[in-house]
Amino acid sequence: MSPSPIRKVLVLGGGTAGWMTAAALSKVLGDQVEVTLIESEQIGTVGVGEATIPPILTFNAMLGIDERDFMRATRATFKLGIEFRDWTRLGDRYIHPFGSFGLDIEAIKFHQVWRKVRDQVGPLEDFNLAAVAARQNRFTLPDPDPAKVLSSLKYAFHFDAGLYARFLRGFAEARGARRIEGKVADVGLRGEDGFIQSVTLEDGRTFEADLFIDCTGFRALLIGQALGGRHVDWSHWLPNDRAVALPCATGGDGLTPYTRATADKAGWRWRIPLQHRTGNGYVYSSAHIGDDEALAGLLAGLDGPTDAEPNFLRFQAGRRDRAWIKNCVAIGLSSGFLEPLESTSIHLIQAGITKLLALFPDKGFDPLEIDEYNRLTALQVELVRDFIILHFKATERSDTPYWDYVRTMEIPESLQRKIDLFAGRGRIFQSDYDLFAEPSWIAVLMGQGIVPRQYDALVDSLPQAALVQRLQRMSALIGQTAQAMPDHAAFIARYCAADAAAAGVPA
Amino acid sequence: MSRSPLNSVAVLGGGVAGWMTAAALARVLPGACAIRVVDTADGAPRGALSTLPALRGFHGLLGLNEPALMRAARGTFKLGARYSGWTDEDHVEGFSDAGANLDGVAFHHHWLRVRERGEAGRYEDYSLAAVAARLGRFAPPSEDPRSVLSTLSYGQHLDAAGYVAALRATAGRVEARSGEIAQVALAPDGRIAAVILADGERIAADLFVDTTPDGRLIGATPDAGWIDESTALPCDRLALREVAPRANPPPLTEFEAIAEGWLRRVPLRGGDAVALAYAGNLTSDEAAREILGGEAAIVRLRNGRRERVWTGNCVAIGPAASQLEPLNGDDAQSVQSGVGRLIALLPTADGSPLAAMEYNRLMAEEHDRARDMAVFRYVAAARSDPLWARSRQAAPSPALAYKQAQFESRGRVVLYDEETFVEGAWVAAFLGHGILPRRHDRLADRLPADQADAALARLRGLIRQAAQAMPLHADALKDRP
Repeated sequence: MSPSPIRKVLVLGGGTAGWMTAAALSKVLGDQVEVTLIESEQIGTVGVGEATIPPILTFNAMLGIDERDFMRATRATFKLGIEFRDWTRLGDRYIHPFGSFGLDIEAIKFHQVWRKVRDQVGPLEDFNLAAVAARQNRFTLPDPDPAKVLSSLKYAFHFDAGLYARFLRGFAEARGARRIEGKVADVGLRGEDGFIQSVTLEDGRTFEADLFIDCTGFRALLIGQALGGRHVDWSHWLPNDRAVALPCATGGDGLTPYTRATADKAGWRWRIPLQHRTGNGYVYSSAHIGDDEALAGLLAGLDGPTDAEPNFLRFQAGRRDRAWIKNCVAIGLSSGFLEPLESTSIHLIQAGITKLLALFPDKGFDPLEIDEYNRLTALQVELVRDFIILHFKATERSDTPYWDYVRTMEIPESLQRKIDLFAGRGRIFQSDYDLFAEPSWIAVLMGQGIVPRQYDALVDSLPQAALVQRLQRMSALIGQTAQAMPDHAAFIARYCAADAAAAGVPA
Repeated sequence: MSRSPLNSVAVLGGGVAGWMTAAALARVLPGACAIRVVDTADGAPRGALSTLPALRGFHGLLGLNEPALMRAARGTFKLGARYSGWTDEDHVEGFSDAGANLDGVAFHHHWLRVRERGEAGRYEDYSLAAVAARLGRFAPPSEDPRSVLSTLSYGQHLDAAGYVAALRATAGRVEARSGEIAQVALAPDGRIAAVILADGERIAADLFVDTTPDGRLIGATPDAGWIDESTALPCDRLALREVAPRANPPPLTEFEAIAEGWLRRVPLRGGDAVALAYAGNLTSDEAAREILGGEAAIVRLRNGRRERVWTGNCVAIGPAASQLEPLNGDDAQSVQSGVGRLIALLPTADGSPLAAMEYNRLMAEEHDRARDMAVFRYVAAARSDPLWARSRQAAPSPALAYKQAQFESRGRVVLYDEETFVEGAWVAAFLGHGILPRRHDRLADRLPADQADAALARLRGLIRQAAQAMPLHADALKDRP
């Protein structure tokens, strides 16, 4: 006889992680489990302007969310990729776009072909529709007809994470999730096995549950403080440990359909355009720059006026040694932190939820299934970690001690192997667990100046003149397709403009 | 530093591995690169191949026309494999996944749930390939995604000698000769300087591909090593024989476990190729021939793999690189990926140590995962004869133990990188060999129970009907000569 099913799930913490989890559980298991979420108005959430990656569409589809409703509610804009400025060297810039580059020819990878004839056909970016459209501030939805170039377009969103949490709260509550306001004073553990039995709030109310989800962010109230999960530190590879966030009025390049990440003296600055304002932040290493100087750097780079208070955050790169311990699963920042350079925060929340659903326990809490959750979590987050480290390692910058450090630091063996293989002949082998597919690695490797010394010898079996022609046709077709797309801001205005009064912007 | 392109490749050994390699290289390498094959006597192709659908993709790249290949290699169609004598009940692992995802949950969870409640039939009853194969029927897959026939996929049964002849015919520019290897001459750095043949000819090349059955070249280089897997996989001999054909052979490879090892029957046009895998120190060659009912060729088998299949300027492909009891019906798969990866990591004339390292990592990983599938069949066998008991003295690899434990717990399939067999194949093997998860995925319960019962009954009926409407395998072969 199998152990009895979970009946009560308690989600602690109501930021993006908490409400994404509550929404998914109430949608998928709503008639089988009772979902309660405890949060406090007194505790701030980290959520600022968030940038996402295309799998967010899968999550929204799983919930059955209407895209326009969601975009209006969260003041969202579209995102086609990230523009990286000043990373390889000062003045340099490249786009890491969604989707792939060109088309393979005779089973030979496109980037190999491009590497051979690049002097005759122009930059790699010209072969990715999202990149070309981003450069022109254009956007439209992909075409469902797979014969059209426009069908290859991949996109994600920029949105206000606080509003996203609020939107999902409405969704979850409509499906029976219960929200409790309060701050946790005590966590009760079961004597016999140390499982979490209950949480008690400051006002004395006690809540019991079968399964606890820790969405308390950096505090890691359950997984860390109550259950003793340890933090695995990666700050020797990722020394940034602070951020300061500050929204400003829309300005500069306006509603760009891309995130911008600009490398700075001791870290990097983000720029995330929303419908009603622009989210900004400076992620930095406190060993290399002080808070005041970082704030000054951030202010100097704003492209519009601001009257908001700067929000300072502290963190340490790394992951929880186990994201699932006993009857507690950590989702979001409580399970680990990687700086948002590649917009992975929300995706890692989503990946945690997907795995939790696939391995949803019963009251027996089979250790084998917990092991599997932890194994997959570690694999996924370490691959993301490597991808982020690449941005800092592959640089020529030596203008500050910070860049000297990251340029010369030791990196994980798994990443070194990837870089070496690519630097030689553009070889690249993707792990099935890697969130970032080949085109992403190619975009960033090439973008950061790691151009293969040689191309694949097989390319020589294709006649050169025909190749050049073919590639020229490809980029021309992509260029035309992009040209025909509407302006991003105009598309938003038509498709999903937030109610102007509510958004606080002039009509 | 010189970075000159590859000017010459020498393939030593010939046979299926040698000619698959030569034919593929001839297709993709620039014309300026010379390709030579030396056919050694012991490399001559023998017996039959039972292949996976993926091999047809390889043939597509070679431009090898399927009807011509089927004629040359006395080919028949393969919809899967049947295993009998392993556990109480026999089972078929078909080339179409059983059922379909319902409500986003993998089909086998629904099957487990319906089974807990009452009648769900066998898991294979939901795989069109398996049902048709048992009925001795075959039809090509449909292109129409709405048709249940679109779930079909097929492999081939091929006569090895005929297959090699067909490969040779596509490899026009390859220069071939037969000869015996007298000596492998190493340079001081451990690379192969030349291979000297019995008649004195000296073969030099930028790259040597070792396709000999025993790894004569790779074994001569330092660092190749050998990892022995003969405890978990106890058969070290194969006896091969051909017997009279059946009137309508099922489009299946049959694997029957017996006390001495296991028997394999592969239908070819004009005869069935049978093989007995056994352990030489438990069963004599004489006894093996008796089991097969007459004269049989005896081939040695050495289960295991090289620690490094690419060292210096020598790459081993096929039995020189790794050997596995041919128990999964995945013959030629390791050759196909060995060649494919060699092409993807093609070295320069002066060698590419980094590419070799990556090649070795990927090939080792792939072998180990396919080996896990073969070992699993021994682990799951409900037999206590000496050979079977002996095989269980070896501990399964941690990867396999973990995979099996995960499946037993809740039907979850753990897939590692470089798996030959993906989720559907593992589920069919686990369930077929009698490994039942203790619980099914809770998400399956979202579908009302009576709806699930009805959906499965309907699906079973639909598949049975579709299979019965397909032509007999013998007729399908006549129609596509």
